[in-house]
Amino acid sequence: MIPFTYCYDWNVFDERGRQVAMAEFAANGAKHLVLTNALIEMISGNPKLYLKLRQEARDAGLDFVDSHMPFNFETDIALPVPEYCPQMLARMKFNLELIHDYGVDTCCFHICSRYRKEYTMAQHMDAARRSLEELLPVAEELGIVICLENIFQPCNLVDDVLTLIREFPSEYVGACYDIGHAYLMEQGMHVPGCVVPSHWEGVAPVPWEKDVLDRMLPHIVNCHLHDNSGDLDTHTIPGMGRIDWAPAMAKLRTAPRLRNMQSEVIPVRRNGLPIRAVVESFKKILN
Amino acid sequence: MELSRLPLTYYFEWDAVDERARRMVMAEFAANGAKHLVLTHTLLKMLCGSPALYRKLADEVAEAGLDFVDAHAPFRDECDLWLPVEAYRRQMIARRKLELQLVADFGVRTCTIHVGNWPYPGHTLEEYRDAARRSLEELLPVAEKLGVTIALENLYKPLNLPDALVGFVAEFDSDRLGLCFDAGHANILARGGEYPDGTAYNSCASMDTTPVWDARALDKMLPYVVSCHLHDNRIRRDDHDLPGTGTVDWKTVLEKLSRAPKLKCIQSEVKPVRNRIPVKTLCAAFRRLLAAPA
Repeated sequence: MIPFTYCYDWNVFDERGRQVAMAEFAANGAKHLVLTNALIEMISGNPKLYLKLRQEARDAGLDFVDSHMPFNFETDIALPVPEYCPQMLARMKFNLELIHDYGVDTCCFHICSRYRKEYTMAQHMDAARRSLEELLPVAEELGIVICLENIFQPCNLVDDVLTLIREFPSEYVGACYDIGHAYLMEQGMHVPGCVVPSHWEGVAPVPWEKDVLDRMLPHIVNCHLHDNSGDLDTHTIPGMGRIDWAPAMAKLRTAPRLRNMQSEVIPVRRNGLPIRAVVESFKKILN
Repeated sequence: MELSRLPLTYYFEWDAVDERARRMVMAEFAANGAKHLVLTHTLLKMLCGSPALYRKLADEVAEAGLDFVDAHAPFRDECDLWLPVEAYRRQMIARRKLELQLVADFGVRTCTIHVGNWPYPGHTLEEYRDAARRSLEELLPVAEKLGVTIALENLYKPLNLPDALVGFVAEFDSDRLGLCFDAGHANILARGGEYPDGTAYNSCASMDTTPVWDARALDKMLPYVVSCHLHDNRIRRDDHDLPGTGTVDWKTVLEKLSRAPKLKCIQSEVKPVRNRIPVKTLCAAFRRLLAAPA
């Protein structure tokens, strides 16, 4: 049985609100939570939370499965500015330790969250290689799989993900399949107002993709499940967008390295959705 | 050495203000003649938790015409060097390495780290000592590479006392390991026995021990002192108040500090927010203190 785990926008809650939300997940039948980028940043910034957060999850009858490395310009493995890299790497190594201490063995990494146009794609990808050279030994020692995610921005294409996986042949490097991002890259060219082209302005023509799941399938270790209508990256619940879930889920289940599945619906900030609606929407597509 | 020639750097409780107020407080320090601020434990925690804050904070201090001199690593809560619980140690070491990197990235060359504040019931003093040693073994090579000197601070608990701190420095014999002399803590350690309900007794009670009083802290630490925390108190509590408001013998402290061969900076560790002290008053008090003949 592949564990199913839930992302949530924890940073909009205070401590009491967080505990109530955890209880809400448990009351709706959830068993696992994602150690999100926001939670990792909260623990990093508040040492008190290191033990407290884990206890809160236990008290709610939950545990953490899967994680997401913080992402931004300062925390990209493809950070092309050499003077910022030691800090970025020290930060990521610290975060990997936290992830390990929370009993989590998969971590989604963005290759490049903030593409800098004054650098080339090759320079970004070289930076990503140098980062992986430093981070992979730490991940291997801790038993954490670095999962590179497909996104609709430069340096995060399926080709980029597969290139790095090929160049770092380790069981601790794999892919994080993001179905919402895949849909934007496969269908966005047909949808007015699609967000994708704005990310490629001044960089290159949009390299629309196809067969994303088929190409990533052998390497998928974790996945981000959320829906959209091909225009915006809304991270909404299955059924509220246009993704054809049944065939995608059937195929995803055959991924030979798959360790967990994640709801990456962003209920509060983007969609105003109750936890119950999130959990029930996934029960439908999983059954 | 004239202490007034060393950089004077100011502590502030930055967690008491939001971003806009932080800029105002920085401007307030600059308007009152301050040149340097401390990269405090609070700022380091904020920086660890918010990657984007690094460049923002660097811009803010530069805009105010200030810079950071001296730093203080976070303490307690599974952060201490003496952390004896093996399961928690790797994250502590990784956190410390990130902090040292941030300190170096801000151009700061001294970072105070507590040997230990937080008690872990069931562990012996030797286990704490061994854990602290192992932490320093891991961190000193990083500090050496980054050009940051780790300064161990005198407190009241075992292994944080002057003799123990000097012992750590002697054991490692590294240019990147020194001491931070805390004048307020030394005042309490010298005369705290008169206050059974005081800070020192309470601090040690959490480890089922009593303070070992020592009136010669600065004499013992002097050869290794690289930074100092100057603040005053009335012994019962660790007030972190303005020099002159308590019982610290400032003339003697400053005279001795002026002979500290490795001292790199002077830090006001007065807590302005806690004590409701205007920045103007704080800066004026330190100007007077350091201008007075030692």
